[in-house]
Amino acid sequence: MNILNWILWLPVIGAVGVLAVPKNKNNVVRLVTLATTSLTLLLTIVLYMRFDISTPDMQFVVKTPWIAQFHINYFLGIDGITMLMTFLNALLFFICTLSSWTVEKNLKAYFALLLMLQSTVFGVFFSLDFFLFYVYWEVMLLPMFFLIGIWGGENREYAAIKFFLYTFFGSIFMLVGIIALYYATGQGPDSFNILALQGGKFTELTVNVFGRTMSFEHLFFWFMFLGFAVKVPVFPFHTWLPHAHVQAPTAVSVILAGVLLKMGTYGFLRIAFPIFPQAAVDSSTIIAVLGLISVIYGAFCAMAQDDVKKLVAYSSVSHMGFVMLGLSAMTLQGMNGAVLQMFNHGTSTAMMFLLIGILYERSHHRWIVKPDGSKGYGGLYTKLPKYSVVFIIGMFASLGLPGLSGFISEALIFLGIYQRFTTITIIAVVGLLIGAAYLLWMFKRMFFGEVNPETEDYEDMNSREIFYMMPLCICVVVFGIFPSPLLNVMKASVGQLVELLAKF
Amino acid sequence: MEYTVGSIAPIFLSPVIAFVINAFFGRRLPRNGDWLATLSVFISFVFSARIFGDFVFGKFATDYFIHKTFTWFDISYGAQIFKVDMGIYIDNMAAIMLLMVSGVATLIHLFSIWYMDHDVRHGRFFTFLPLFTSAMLGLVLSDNLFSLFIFWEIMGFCSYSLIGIYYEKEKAGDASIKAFMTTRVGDVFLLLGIVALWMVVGSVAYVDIYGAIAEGVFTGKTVVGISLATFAGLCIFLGGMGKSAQFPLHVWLPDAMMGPTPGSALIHAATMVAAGVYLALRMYPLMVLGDLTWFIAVIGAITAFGAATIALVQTDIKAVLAFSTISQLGYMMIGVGVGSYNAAFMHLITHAVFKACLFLSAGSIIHTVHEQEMPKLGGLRKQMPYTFFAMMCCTLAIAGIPFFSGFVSKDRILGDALYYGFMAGQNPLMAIVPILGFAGAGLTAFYMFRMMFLTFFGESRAHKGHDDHGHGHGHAAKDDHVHDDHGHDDHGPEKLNFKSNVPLLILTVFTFGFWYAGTLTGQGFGNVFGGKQEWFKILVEAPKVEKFVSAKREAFSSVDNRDKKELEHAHYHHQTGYAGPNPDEHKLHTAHTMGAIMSIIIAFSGVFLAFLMYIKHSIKPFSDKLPGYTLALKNKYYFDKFYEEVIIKKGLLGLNRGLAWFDMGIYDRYVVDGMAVVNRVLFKASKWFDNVVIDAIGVDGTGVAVNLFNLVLRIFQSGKIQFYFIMLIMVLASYIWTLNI
Amino acid sequence: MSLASYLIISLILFVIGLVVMMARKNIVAILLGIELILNAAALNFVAYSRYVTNNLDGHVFSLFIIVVAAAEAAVGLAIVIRFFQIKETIHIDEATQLRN
Repeated sequence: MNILNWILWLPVIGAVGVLAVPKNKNNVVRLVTLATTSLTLLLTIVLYMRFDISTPDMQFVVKTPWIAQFHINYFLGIDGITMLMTFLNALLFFICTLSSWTVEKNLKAYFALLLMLQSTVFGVFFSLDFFLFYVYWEVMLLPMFFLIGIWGGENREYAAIKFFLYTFFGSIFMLVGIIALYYATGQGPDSFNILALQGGKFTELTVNVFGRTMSFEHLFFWFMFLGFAVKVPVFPFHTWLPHAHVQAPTAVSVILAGVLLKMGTYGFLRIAFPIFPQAAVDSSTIIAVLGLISVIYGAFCAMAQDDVKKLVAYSSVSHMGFVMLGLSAMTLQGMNGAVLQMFNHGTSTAMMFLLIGILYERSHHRWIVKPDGSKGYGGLYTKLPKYSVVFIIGMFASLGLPGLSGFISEALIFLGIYQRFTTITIIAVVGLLIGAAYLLWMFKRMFFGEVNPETEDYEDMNSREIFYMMPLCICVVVFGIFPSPLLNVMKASVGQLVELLAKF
Repeated sequence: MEYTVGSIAPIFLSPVIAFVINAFFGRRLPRNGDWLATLSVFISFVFSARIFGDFVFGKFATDYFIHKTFTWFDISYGAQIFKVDMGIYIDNMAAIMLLMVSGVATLIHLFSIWYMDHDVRHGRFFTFLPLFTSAMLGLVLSDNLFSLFIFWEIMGFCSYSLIGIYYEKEKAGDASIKAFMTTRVGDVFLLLGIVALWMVVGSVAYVDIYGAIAEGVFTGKTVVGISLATFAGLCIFLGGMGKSAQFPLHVWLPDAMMGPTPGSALIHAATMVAAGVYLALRMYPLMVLGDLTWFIAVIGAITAFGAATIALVQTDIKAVLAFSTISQLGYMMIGVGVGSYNAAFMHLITHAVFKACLFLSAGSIIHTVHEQEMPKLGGLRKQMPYTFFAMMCCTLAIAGIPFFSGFVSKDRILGDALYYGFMAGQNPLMAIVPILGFAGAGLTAFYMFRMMFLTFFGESRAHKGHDDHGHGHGHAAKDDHVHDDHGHDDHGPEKLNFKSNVPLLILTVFTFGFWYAGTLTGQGFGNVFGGKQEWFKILVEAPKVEKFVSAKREAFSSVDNRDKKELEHAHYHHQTGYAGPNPDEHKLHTAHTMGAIMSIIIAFSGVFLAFLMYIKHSIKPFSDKLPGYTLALKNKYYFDKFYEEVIIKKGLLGLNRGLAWFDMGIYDRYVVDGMAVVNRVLFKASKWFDNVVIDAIGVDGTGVAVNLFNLVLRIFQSGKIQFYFIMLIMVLASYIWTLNI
Repeated sequence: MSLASYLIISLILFVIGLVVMMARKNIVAILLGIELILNAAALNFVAYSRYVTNNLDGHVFSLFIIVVAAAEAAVGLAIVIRFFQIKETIHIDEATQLRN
């Protein structure tokens, strides 16, 4: 049986297994989940080793008819871009299982939902059938909705509903686009085949909307754009993110920032750009401007936050703005930088959210400055030395210190974007500056100074916490110094896309 | 002989290895691995010395360079090629620089073992110190701007860590952020400049950039309306301004003394601040092409003079040194700007040596007396003779007294500035450069001797007993309270201590001018002195871009790209060392002579003034006469306050809070959640339509009609039998009535 | 005595009975009103029998009326008693179950 099937369905099997565990056997539940996620991670590593980096084509392809009447197939496959995302997904879920060890409330349902979520995220990345993609895209919302809505913070229902509706709003447009493509291809056997749709097949096509003739590509590119931009999130579709992050439990925040946001940019890379290349090239200025606004605006907003989780949430907006900038460049450097940034942001932001989660377990609040003006933390450096070291690594990776992973991707993005939009590049460097400012300022307010009496009984990271932070630390440092393992995997796929876009 | 990577890489790698070992196992090593750090840097020094020997003493011709590259990563696909190369580039300048950095850093490490002994942050300090050194060495070894930028930023991180090493102090946190952010302002522009160059040249290796300049690749290219060379040069110089603490990005350096004093020594002398000048020198052809040299000169002059004035009123011994560093960096920038290429570089080296020595001396004083406020010091001459000797020599050097290194380098910069400002046919306004330069030189002599006189001469004003450590917290780092209180009660004359005094004395040796002004006629050590040409002038000259045209493609070939035969053609033609506009050898000579005389007079008058004020007390300190100006000086011309209050607090934070409020308060609440309100209005409207129009009128309307009819009929259904009866009668009657009619 | 005077008396009786039926609220009084109306009818039968047909048919009918009236009064009073047992009143307006 194909390895992709295993990776895709193993978490589902695990979820069923978790549900089958008798009540009150919490440790069994945890161990079953851990076994599932570690096995998935192992399979992903096997996948990586069997992956052929020389070709941009899809590998490990599975294709079985699903709803034959409408030519809908169960069609899976991965290329270099997906490979990175798969690895990221498997790694983060493995880590999240460990970080969720302390969850007590309704444990079985929590882990079952977490595993379901993992499967659906894999599904989104693996799907090469548009219909299947959409199904996974939507089904993914369900576990997220419940994970935020049940295990979240005080305002969880609001955040969960907001997250759900916002994403749903975008994906409705995507659905219209899918249906439009289905009819545009004459309902033939390839009408849901993402690969067959790619390559600018609809450049000449027009549609009538309200009596006006419009370019099919442009119209539905923007439909797709809406679907994916909400997920990224690009300004002005970003406001669900701070709410969702602040309310979500730690592990869900990690998954949300680490993987789910990448589904948006992945959508651009796999669907919006290759299927509508002409429109993508024509619209790249708008995408770049939106990316730029995300970068600057996200950074500025982050600086004003007193809630540390909200700060990191806004920093995600800013960093994903860099990804959008890289995508809009449509050059080799920009695209590679964007995909690399997707991975690097996944690891560094996951670190930040995990660390905030660790701190939250001790303090039960997340205020840098409490609403009454007093210090929320302070002097943590003295109090939690190990924690501080890991925090420094995560923070400097996040702000793009050379030698850590964020820098290479940002530099590549700048190299890419400069060729197309010089002025935007000049403005975007301000984002780097503010990016350093808010993180360092946060760090100073939380870690420097005298020990806050409130933090007196905090314990430093325990061995479980250190254990699950280690892989991310290693990723951040090693891929900062040797980015080739990542770049080599994706460069063929990215290069092919750039080549395609260069024709338009 | 051929240099292999194996004989160069240890320069960079051995401190990195020390960093890694100390970071992970430092605590388990005896004495937190301070010996390991020192040893690793010493290994760098040994390898650097070998290269230096080969470059300077005859193995290689003056224009020889080693260039080795390897591909870091490669994202080429099909016809699209993009790969990032890293490499080593060593020419004379880099060789001298390597020796200076590793040498000074070794001595600083050695000193730190003494200074940081029993300090609570001993281990952390010896983790970051080798990393800092290795970053600087890596920067010097880099063959391209991209890897230079990487090490540049790592140095920023190291300075952040060293300045904020006493993290329980709020001020340390503020200072470390200030250092990182201020330099980062320059850094992002540097990155932008690198990106701009990369996209035009196709590589950012120095040799490729030089080659591109020679080939005229930049001709006619513009970025946002200005010429590409100007744009890229300006961006790169902004990076240098940040790192080298040039006006107006100088504010971080004085605060950087929050860290331990040897850390400051490393930042101020060998590493961090030198990098900016080094970059400006490396990119000198670009600056010339972009017509930025006047700008560099003016910025340098403002910095040199402004920082010197601020140093006049500082009372903290480290603050005086910090501002003197800024001022001296200004001189280096003047040197770059006026085309005094090799003098600027020489000043970088001489300054590194004497400033390291000055900081270490200050550290020695602080560690011994536990006091760094000059009004509370004094009379230390007898107590600390070795430190006094070292500090005196360095002060003579920085003040530009003949026979000391500072005179050699600064005088030449000032001479060139004089020529540039008055004789080179520049804009007359450029006269400001030499004027400010000379004025600053006088001030330098004055404030340095003021420091010396206050610290070492006169009566000891140090309070007896060191139990009250609470004083002076408004000032810089008080390292003392984190030290173990040991051995500072015996105030007898210091004994010669290997770790504390020897580094000072070694550095002192190199503050003498002859090391730098020595001459070199042929090759080989024996001929260093006694020739006609100063070896610095021969070895260090502005890059001749023409010779890199052919080298451009060879650069990727991973071998030394000079043929052995060329070594024979080493040319020692007479050099003025001046690379600026309109060189005229005769006038230059005149300018240099004038400059030398002027700077000697100015330096001595500065010293004399300080003598009168602080030894003889025959002149009152001018602070009494100019209280307003003194206040402005004490507040550093309000730059820090302006940045902090206006730009950061009011501007940036205000903007941030405004935007964040807009995002959550307006955009999210009204626009996004407003969609919900719109929705609610819509569903209310549709509910109304459904309930009223469809249901009430359409569906229920039928019922209502029936009901209305029912209401009428209901009147007759009173249930009262008599009423029915009456009705019956009436109907009957009316029936009869109708029938009858 | 002519036929007319009998008819006038009968009319007077009928009208009185009718008015009593319509105006009085006491059920017993209403029953009395009914009796009056029946008697008016019986008088009419007898009067027409004497002056117009000159046979005994009318007399027989009036006897029937008397018998039926007695039975009707018995049934009526029984209803009244039952009504009183339920409502504790014999006010006719209380009997409104037929309303609506």
